[in-house]
Amino acid sequence: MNNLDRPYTPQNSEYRFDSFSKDSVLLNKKKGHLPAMGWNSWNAFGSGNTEELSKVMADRLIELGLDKLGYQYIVLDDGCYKPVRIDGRVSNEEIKFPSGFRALSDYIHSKGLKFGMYNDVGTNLCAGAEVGTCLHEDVDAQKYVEWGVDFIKVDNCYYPWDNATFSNEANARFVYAPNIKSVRVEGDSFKEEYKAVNGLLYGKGAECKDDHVTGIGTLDGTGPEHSPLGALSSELRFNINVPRSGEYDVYVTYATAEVPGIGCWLQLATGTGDDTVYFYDDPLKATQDSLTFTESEAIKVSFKEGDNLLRLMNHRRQENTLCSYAKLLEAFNKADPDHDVILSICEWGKTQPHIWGRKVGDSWRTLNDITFWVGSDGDPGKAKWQDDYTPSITSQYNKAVIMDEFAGLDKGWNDPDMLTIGMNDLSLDMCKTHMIMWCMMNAPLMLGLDLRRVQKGDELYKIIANKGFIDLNQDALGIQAKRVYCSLAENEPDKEYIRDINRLDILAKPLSDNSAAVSFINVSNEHKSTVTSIDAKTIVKYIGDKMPDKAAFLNAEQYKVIDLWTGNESINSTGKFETASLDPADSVCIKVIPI
Amino acid sequence: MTDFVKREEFILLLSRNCKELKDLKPDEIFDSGLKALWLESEDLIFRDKFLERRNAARIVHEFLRRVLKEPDEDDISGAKTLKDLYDCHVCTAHIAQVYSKGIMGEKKKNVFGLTDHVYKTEAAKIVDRVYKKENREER
Repeated sequence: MNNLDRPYTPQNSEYRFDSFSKDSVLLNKKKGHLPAMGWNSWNAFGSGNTEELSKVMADRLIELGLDKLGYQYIVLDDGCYKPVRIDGRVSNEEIKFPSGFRALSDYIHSKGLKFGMYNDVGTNLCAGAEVGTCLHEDVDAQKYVEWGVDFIKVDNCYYPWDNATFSNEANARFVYAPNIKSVRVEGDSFKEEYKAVNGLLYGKGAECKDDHVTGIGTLDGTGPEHSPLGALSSELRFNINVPRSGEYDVYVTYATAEVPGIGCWLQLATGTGDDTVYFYDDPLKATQDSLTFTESEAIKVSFKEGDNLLRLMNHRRQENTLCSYAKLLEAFNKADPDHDVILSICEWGKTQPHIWGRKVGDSWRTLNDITFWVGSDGDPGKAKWQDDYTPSITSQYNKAVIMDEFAGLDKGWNDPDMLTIGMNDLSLDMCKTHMIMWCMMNAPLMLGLDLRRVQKGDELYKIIANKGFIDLNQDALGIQAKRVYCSLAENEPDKEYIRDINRLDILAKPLSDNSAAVSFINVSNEHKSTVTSIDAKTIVKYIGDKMPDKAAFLNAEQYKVIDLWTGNESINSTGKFETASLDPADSVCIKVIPI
Repeated sequence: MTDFVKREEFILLLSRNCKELKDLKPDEIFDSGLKALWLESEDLIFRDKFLERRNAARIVHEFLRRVLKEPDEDDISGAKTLKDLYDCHVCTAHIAQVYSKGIMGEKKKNVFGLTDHVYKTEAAKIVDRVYKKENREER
C-alpha cells in the first residue's frame, strides 16, 4: 500500500538507473509511433478552453484539411476537470464541458479524429485541481479508457516525491543523498575508514566541500542551464579491497537536509550495470542540520575477495518519476490490455527524461514551457524567438537540436513543447523556421493556435500545412535530424550545447527514400549574408550510418534539389549545397535526392 | 483569528466596485464569473479557503481583461526579477501582469510568494489598485 510519505518502489532492476542505458521498455509499452500531430488547447486558450471551443477546433481541423496532412489529435489540456474528485473519480468541469468527456470524445471520433486529455503524476494538476493521478492511477486509467482517450499528456506539478513545481521544496529529501563525510567498513578482522573527499566523484553535480561531499543526485533539467549530453547525475564511489568474501558492516557518516543538493535518501550498492546489487535504498535518520554529522547504523554489504566498487548515490529523482509514469501505464494496461494510448511525458526535462522516457512514454518534454503568455478566446497570446530562460522557440531548439541520439521509432521523441505558430510577436519567418525546426527534429507537432484564425491558403496555413515539412517529420525512417554545422561550434556541432543565438546552423536528416533533408537556419535576429554550405561527404559523415544506402547518396553524379518552401526544383552536380543569405530567423529547407 | 482573506471575500470585494456586478448576490457573482471565465470552478468549491497569492493574481488578471477590458502590459520585463515567476507555469502570465501593472508586488525581495496567503489589508489594497490606476506602484 502506497502513501504520499514514500515513493513507489522500483519493481525490478528495469526501473533502476543502471538499466537506463539499455533499449528495453517496461510493461510492453508499444513502440513504433511517429511523432504525434494534432491540436492542443493550452497555447490557444489556457485554462479557458471549453467543450464548444474544442468542437469548433475539431471542425476547423477538418475544414482546413489538416487531418489529411496528419493532424489527428484534439487534446484538452489543463482546466477541463472539476477541481475535486467525486466519489474518488475525475470528472468534467460542468460549465466549460457540460456534456461530459464521453460525449466530446464521441464527437471528435465521429470526425475521424482522436481524443486526447491531460493529467499529472502529482496530487494536483498545475492549475490547482485536486485530481492528479498520484495514488489514483487505476481508477483514472479506467475513466480514460471509458472516455475513449487516445492520447494523454501527463504533467508533474505537485509531485510528492521531488521538489517539483508546487511541491514542497523539502521533497528534495527524496532525491538527493545526504552530505557524506566518510564510510567505515568492518568485518571479520577487517576495519577500514574511507574519507569521502578521497573517494571518486563520478558523474556531474557532486562536489567536495571542506571535509565532506555534497550535491549527490540528479541535475534539474527544467531550466536551460545544463547540456542534456554527458553525465547528468553523480555518485560517490570507493574501491573497497577486502581479504575475504563475505558480509561486512558499512557505516556511513552523514548529515541530512531537505533542500536541493542535500537530502536524506541514500542508495548504497556494489557493482555496475547488470552486476549492481543494492544494499540500502531508504532515507537515513534526519540529523540536526546539514553539517552536524552522525554515523548510520550498520548496513550489511556483501563483498567479494579483492576489489569491490562501492557506490553511494541517489538516483531516485529519475527512478521515482519513471515509477510514477510506469504506474499509470500499468493502470492503462489493466483497464484495457490492448490499448495504444500515446503517453506524452510532461515533466519539463526536470529528471532528464530523455534518458528513461522511452521505457514508458512516446515523447518527453525537454524543458519548462515554450511560452507562459498563453492566449484566450479572442487573444492569440504571445511567444518569443529568444529568451534567457525557456519561453522561446530558440531556447527549446538549442537543447533539443543536440538530442537526436535519444529519439527514434523504437524509443520515442524529444518534445520541445507545442507549436507557438500564430501567436503574437512572432514574424512569419520565425513561424516558418519554427515549423522547419520541429519537423526536422521529429518533435510532436501540436498546433497551439485558434484555428478560426487560419484560412486555407493564408500565410499561417502555408506554414502549418506545408506537406513537404510535415513529410520530414512523419518520414517512416523516424530519424531526428542531426546538426552537422554550427557557426559557433568549436569541434562537434552535433554535441555542443550552444545558447548564443547569433549563429547559423545546418541540420541534416536521412529519409526513407534515401534522400536527405537539409535545413539552413539563421538562428539569430539579424540578417546573415554569409554563404553557408554543406557537401554530400559531410552529410554522410554525420548521418550516413542511418541512411538506407549511404554509398548511393555519396556517389550520386547529380542530385535533385527541392526547396520545400518555394517548391523550386534544381539539379546539383557539385554535391555541395549552399544558401547565400538569410533574413533574421529565416531558413531554407531542401530535400536532396541522389539521381 | 487570522487576518487572511478567503477566496469568496476577495471575489466579492473585487466585484463590489464593478457596475455590472455590484448588485448581484454572491452566488450570482460566482455564476457570472464562471461563465465569463474570470473565475474557475475551484474558486467556487474552495470559496471558504484562504486565498493564495497566485490565485489572487489569476483572478485579478482575468477580471481585468475579461470584465474591465483592460489590455495587458506589453513590457513585463520587470517581473523577471521574481525568482519564482517561472515556477508557476499556469500562473506565470497572471503574475507578470499584476506585477507589471503595479497591482501586486513581491512578498519578499525578488520573490512573489506563489502560495503565501493574502492578508485582508493586502486584499483591500489590491482591489483599490485594480480600479484606481493612480494608486498602482511604479514599475
